[in-house]
This record gives sequence, structure tokens and C-alpha cells, in this order.
Amino acid sequence: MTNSHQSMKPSGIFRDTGFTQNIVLIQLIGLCPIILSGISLKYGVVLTVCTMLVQVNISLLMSVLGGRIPDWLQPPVCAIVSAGLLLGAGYVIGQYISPELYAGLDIFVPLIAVSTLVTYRAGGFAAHNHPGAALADALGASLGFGVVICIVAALREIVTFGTLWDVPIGFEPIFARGALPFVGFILLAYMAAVLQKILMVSRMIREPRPDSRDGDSTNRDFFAEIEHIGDIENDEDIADPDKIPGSGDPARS
Amino acid sequence: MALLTRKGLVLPSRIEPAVSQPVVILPADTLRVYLPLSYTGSRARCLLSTNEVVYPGKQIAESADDGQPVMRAHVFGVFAGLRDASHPLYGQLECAAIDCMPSPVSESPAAKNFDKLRPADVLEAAEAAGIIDELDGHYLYRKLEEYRENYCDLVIADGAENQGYASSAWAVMNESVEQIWMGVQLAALALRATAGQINVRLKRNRRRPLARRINNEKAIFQVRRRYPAVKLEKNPWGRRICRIGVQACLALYRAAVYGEMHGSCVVTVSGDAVKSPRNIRAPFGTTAEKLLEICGLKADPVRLLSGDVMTGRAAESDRMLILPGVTCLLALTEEAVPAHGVCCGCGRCVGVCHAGLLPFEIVRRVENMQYEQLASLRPDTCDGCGCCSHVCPAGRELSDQVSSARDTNSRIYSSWEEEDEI
Amino acid sequence: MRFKRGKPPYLRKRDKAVYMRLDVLIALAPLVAFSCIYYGMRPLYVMLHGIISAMLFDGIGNLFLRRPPGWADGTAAVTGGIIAAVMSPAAPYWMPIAAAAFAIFAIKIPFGGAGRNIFNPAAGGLAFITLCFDGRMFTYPAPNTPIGDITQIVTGESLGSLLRSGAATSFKPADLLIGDFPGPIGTVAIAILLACAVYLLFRRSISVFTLLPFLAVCTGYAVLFPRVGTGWENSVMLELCSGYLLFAGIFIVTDPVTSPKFWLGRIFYGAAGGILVMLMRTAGRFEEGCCFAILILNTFAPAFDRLSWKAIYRTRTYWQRLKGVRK
Repeated sequence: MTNSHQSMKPSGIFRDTGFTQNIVLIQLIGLCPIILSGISLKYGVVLTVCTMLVQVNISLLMSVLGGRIPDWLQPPVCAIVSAGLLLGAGYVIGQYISPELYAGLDIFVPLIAVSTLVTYRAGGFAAHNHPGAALADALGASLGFGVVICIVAALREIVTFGTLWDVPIGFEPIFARGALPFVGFILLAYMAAVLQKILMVSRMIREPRPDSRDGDSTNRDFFAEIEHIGDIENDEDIADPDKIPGSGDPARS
Repeated sequence: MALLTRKGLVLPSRIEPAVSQPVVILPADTLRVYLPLSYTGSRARCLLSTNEVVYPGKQIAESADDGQPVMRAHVFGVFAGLRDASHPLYGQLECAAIDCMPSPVSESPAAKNFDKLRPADVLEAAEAAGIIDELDGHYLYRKLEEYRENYCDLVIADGAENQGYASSAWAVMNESVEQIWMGVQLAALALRATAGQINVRLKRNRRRPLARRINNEKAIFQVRRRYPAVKLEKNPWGRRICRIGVQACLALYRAAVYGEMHGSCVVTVSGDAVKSPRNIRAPFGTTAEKLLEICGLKADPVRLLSGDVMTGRAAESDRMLILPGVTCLLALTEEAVPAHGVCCGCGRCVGVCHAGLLPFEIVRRVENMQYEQLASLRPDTCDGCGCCSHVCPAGRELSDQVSSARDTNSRIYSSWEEEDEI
Repeated sequence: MRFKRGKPPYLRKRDKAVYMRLDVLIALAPLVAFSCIYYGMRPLYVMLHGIISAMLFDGIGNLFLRRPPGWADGTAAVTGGIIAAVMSPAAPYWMPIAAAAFAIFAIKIPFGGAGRNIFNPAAGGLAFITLCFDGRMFTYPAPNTPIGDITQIVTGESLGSLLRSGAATSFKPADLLIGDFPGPIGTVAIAILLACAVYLLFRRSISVFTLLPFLAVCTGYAVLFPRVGTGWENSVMLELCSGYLLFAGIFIVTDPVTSPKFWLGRIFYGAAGGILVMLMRTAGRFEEGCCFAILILNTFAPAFDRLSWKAIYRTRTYWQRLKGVRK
């Protein structure tokens, strides 16, 4: 359940979870809220804030306590704590910010409590690492999720309703069914492809692709290993077709 | 259902005009022939010295490995040197070049009595004459020994040519079907088999006279028109079959009764680029250049094939040698259709495969390197007839890929599964 | 003299993959012509919009895949043609273009382009339009009314909606055959559709093993679960002639790239297709949910192929071993 990160420095972990191995686009975790309720920028921002709240707290908690709680007890503890946090958040949104907003989001705020986004990172990473790393990971995951859901939600809102943050921007809604899930899936797919392309290009800029010189060196190592076997008493060791791949049966008449 | 899903192809028949013309006999008198020192790829040392005189029956090479057959010359001439050659059927060969001379008149050994021959005599004669079966390139005496041990019922002399151009088997049968039939009986004697037949694919006006000449209607068996005539280990009545080529049967008879060496074969020289296609009886070791010279070229050939269109192998140059196994030489002008690449899903390859395979699926897995379930698609039952590539509208190389899957035992790069960690 | 090598066999059939697609376009032509008789020149323009936009998008998409443009392939033209043939004659011009864009960019290109797609792009494009613009998609003008301005057309009630609301009675077979009822461009002229089917079958561009089980299962379903109260003959006639079921059976379900290639696999595929299409009609949300059924069906094509081939091959091998023909 642990992921190998490129570096164990907090900034490296943050960049890793947020961008290079983006939690949504590359690891495909936490798609459900984006597809079903990422239809308006306000929803997106609210979900991001709630996710970040829950994620940071749960990751810090698990990082401190995780070693002491047995494995089977970790998910229920996460769920109960995050449910408590979300109850508070939901109350704040419903009472003080906007009741329509809370009603529009209906189940997706409480759903964060059992979302894979939280439990995957909490149990998988935070439980085995020190708090600094856990914090960086939590921030990376939630901000990575947040960027994706805001972009998707903004696009869908513009196309479906013609507004952005409930402000009409003079764009005729051409596509009344943009709130349907398949639009979310296809948008996510294209965004994932774009991210992959960006990563590939940046990788190629940073490390030019090894050309045949590398191939030769590996072959040289291979043969060097063969020579190091020592004095070979009979040739059958080398000529054994099982040892050298690719050589067929020489004595086929 | 059989009508809707009949397997195999009907290929256009292009045996004219070679089939109606008499066979051209190329005497060995003034040729330079190249005799391989070993057909089986084993290392051999040439025993001849420069300008040494060679006569039929003289051993020309000594093999370094045990149990290899002795290579003997079948012409009269003078040794001129060694040469390397590559052959589409046999691969790389080292050959002894011999400038032939007219042979001095010598008395031929007395003909043995056919009825008094014993199986051991037949096998000895096959070994001494160095007969190689043109169907699979094996030495005939080895093949007979192997089938003799493993119990054989039926001997078939395979002269069925339904691919389009070749008519050399017909030419040989036309010349001497009685001798071929006696050769079949000798092979049956050597194998302790109970029956023999000659497979043909001929029209009635050519088939009937053959049957009349050997006085046995049932012995001439007509195979189906569609290519490929399916080759099975046992025929539907459960009889174990040994197939030998007609030219090998003829050579067996002549070796057992007259003691002659297996020295020449009939080759059909044909194709779009050839001016007058003929059947030519040429001694082994002749270059293809000489045969093309005899028949004349009317256009620049793009390809030279040893074998017929569907199963023939391309030769690199016209200095290819005529060796046992080459029964047809085609000089073709037209280009093969280039591959368009992607499968269009018509299903014609499935409809035409007589082994009941799914060529498109095998090739898809080979191309995408998904080797895990490749063996369960049974590419090992493919016999390389080439029908799938023939009918593919996208011009894909199906038959080639399925054959490579079969040859590598569906394990082309499966060692990567352990080593790669992407 | 040196020669080329190449790979055996050295004799190939003179056939091209593009002929199959050309046959489909040839089969679509009389359908469009017939629709133009009823509705004026508009169906032809819709068809041209569909085909040309599909080919354009395919060219752009192949740039992303780094493949040659592929107009010689014909698959994009067929996709555009099929999409346009299922549009209503009063469809606005942007509808076939939008459907073609979705079909190419979301169904065809991401899976590898022509010949490698798992899902039928035409079915995907139609599904997109059905989901998002179902009102405009299913408004059909009454026949014999030439269409000028599409905002002022006389609409007719299509067979599909009649069947759905249960108000269908009987139609004269002659009317159904010549297409004298409201419906999409290419799917009302039943007699011409059957002629197209015969043409495509004899040219080996579509397979009889997919088409006949599909039609048989649809007929059986119509007999067993009629939505019409006046007897099973009327039920069968109306079910087969309404919506674009017959059209889908001939052009979309039998699409070579997305359907199985083995004869028994094709039979199962056609039968499963029939069941799914009829279920989508009777229990689905729209009056014609053929496209969704086909998208679901496409996922089963490799499974049908593989399983049925395995069954037949094993049976044949055991039988041959029993007879002693194979060792």
C-alpha cells in the first residue's frame, strides 16, 4: 500500500502527489465527486475545501497514531473522525454560507468521509511516515484533486449553464446536458492525456532519451558477466539454448 | 454448412503451355555443376583435389559428424574448386564445382530382377544412390527406416499439384508412370505396407491414360481441386500414410533395379517473365541461370521462386542451384500487394483456413506482444499454406506471422515477463 | 541477376479493404435519394455535412495518432454516412457535425483509430445526440412536405413513439415498404433497405451470420412481447420497421471491425444484439435506444469470438482424434 516517491523531501512529495503522479488523473482516485457533482465552480471549491480539511487532519492524525492502531482499525477510525469534521463543515456551509449550496451538493460532502481519496492516502502513506511528509502528501493530494475538479467544474458550468461562479458571462448555454456523467468522464480522459503529454515532454527535456550507446554498454556488461564465469571446461554451458535467448536448435536437419 | 464455410482456395490454373510440351532433357555434357558437400548442414571436408576426375558414384566429401550419409557425385567430369552458395531450401551450402565431360561408354550393370528384391536391398539401394525426397528434403532411406519402425499402412507417391504453375510431376508421370508405380511397390515392400497409390490432380484426359498404363484404376487417386489438398497423418479410414514424391519413387526404382544414382530431376520453368515455359530435366547442381536461358525471358523478372507461388521460397540470385526439392522455378514480374496494415475485420482469413485457426487473432497478439494466451490459439497446427495472406483484403502478412508464432513455440519473448520491470 | 525476397505467398487476391466501405456508401445512396423524393434536397445536404465533417475530423485525429490521414481508408466516410442517415430530415446542420466530432474524437481516435476501435463510432455519435438533444433528434417531419425552414415544419408521429405510447394500430405493408411514414432519413424506405442488405450480403461486405440471428431474435421478441394489441403480424411488422432497427442491423451491428469474425461468434453476437436492442426499446428511456445497446454489445465481441472458437475447435479435435485422423 505504500507508494514509492521519487524523493522523501516534503516538497518532492507535494509535487509528486499533486502533479507528477496526480492523484486524480494518473492514479485515478476520487473520481466520483468530480464526475457527479463537479458541475459548477462553487461546488468544486466547496468540495476542495472540505477535502483539504479532512485530508490534512486525518493524515496528521494517522501519522501520529497510525503505528499504534492495528491495521483493521484504521479505516473505521478515519471514517468516524472525518464524519465528525464534515458534520461541522456541513453545518457551517448550511447555516452561514448558503443553504442552497449545501442542498445542491447533497450527499457529496458527507461522502468525503469514506472517499478513497482520504483513506488511500491516510492508510497507505500517512500511517508509515512522519508528520511533515504526511502533511505534504495530504496537501498535494487535496490540491491536486482541487485543481482538477475546479477545471472540470468550470468548463461544465460554462457549457451547461452559461455562468461562471453563478455570474452569467454572456455565453449561450449550448449544451444543456453537460451535467451528465459521461461529459465528466471524457473531460477527465482528455485532461489525463494532456497531463501525460506534458510530463513526457518535460521528461524528455530534462533527460534526453538514451541512444544506442546505453544499449551497447548493457550488452558489454552482459558479456563481461559471461566472461567472469571463469574457466569453462566444456562449451556446452555457453551453447545451451536455454541460457542464451534467441538461439534456435542448430541441429535441425 | 460445409457449402457456406468450405475451406481452401481455388487458384487459377496456369500450367499451360508447359504441360503440353515434351520435356527438355538437359545433358550434363558441357555444363558446370555444383555439388553440395553436405545437405544436412553438417561440416564436411572435400576429398577431391584440383583437376581430379570425378565419375558417378565417387565419394566427394567426408562428413565430420558420425552417421551422415556419404556424398557421391552423379556426373562425369573434372573438379574445378569449391564455392559457397546459398539456397532457399537448404540454406548455406559449400559446393564442389565440377566441369562435366561426356562420359566414356561403360557397360551399365545388369538390371536386377524386380520380383526378387528384398526390403533390405531397397533400403541399401536408396542409401547408395543418395536419393532425397523432394517433398521434405529428407534422405529417402532414413525416411523409409523411420516409417518402417513405426508401422505404416499406405504409401502415397504425391504428384498432386494444385497451386497453379507446376506441372513437373505430370511430366515425370507422363514419361514413366509404370516405373513410378513399381517404385511405389518397392517402397511398400520396404515399409511392409499393404497398399500404395499415386495422388494426382489432373483432368480426366490426362488421368485415364496413366491408369491404363499401369492397369490399375484405383491406384491413381484424384485429390480435391481446392488448395491446399489437406495432408493428414492418417487418412479418414485410419491408415497410417507415408508420402514420397513421385520423382523420388522413380529414382528409387531406377536405383534398386538398375543401380543408377539419383542424378537429375524435372523442373517446371514458368512464370510471367518466361518466354516459353517448359519442363526441363536437369542434373543436380545446374544453375537456374542455365534453365532460364533455355526457356528465354521476355521481361525483367522481379522474383525467382523455388517452388510454386503459394509455398515457394524466393531465391536471391539466378545462380541458385537445382537440387532435390526444387521442382518448379518461377520467374515473376508482378509485385506482390503491399501491406495496408490494419485488420478490417472481414473474417475471410478465418473462413479460408483449413486448420480452423483464427489468423487475425494470432497476428494481433504477436504484433501487440501479448504472448500469454497465444499458445491456446494453436498456431502450432498451422502448416504454412498461405491461404490467409492470399485472401486478406488489407494485404497483411498473416501466414508469415502465424508461422513465426508456430516456429518459436508461441514463446517469442516470454522471457521478458520475468526480466522487464516497466 | 539479383532478385527481391518478399514473403510468401507470392500470389494475392486482388482485393482492397476500402471496397467494403465503398459498398456501404453505395448502399446508402439510394436511401438518401429516396428521402429526397419525400423531403426535398435537405437530406442530401445533411448527409454531405455528416460525411465531410467526419472525414475532416478523422484527418485531424490521425495527426494525433501519427498515422497517415486515412481518407483512402473509407471508415470515416462510412461513420459520417451512417450518422447522417439516422438523423431526422429536419435536423439542424450542426447535429451530424457534433455527432461526427464525438464519434471520431471520443470513440475512434482514443482507442487507436481505424481498424482498432472497440466501439462502433457511429453508434457512439448517435448515443451522444440521443442523450443530449433527444427532443430535436426525434422530431420527424410528416412525409411529402418539402422542408424549407426547419423551424416551421409539420411534424408527424413516428412509429417508434406510437409504439411507445401504445397507440399503434396496424399499417398497410405497402405503406411501410415504400416509407410513407415519418422517420429518419435512411431508415424508412424498408424495401430499399432490404435490397441494400441483399447487395451487401452478396458482396461479402456484411455477414449473414450476424444479420439473420439479429432479425430473427427481434422478430421473436416482437411475437412474444408485442406492444401492439392487434395481433403478432402487426407487432412484427411495426417493430421491425420502426425507428432504425433494420438500419442498425444491416449497417451498424454488422460493422466488420467491431463484430466477431468467427461464424459462431457472429451468430451469438447478432442474437445478443437483438435482445439488447429490443430491451432498450421496451424498457429504455428513449423511443429508440439502439445505439446504447450496440455500444454495450461491442464489448462482448472478442469474448464471443474466443469462446465459440474454443468450443468448436475442441469439439472438432476430439472428433478427429476419435476417428483416428489426428494423433
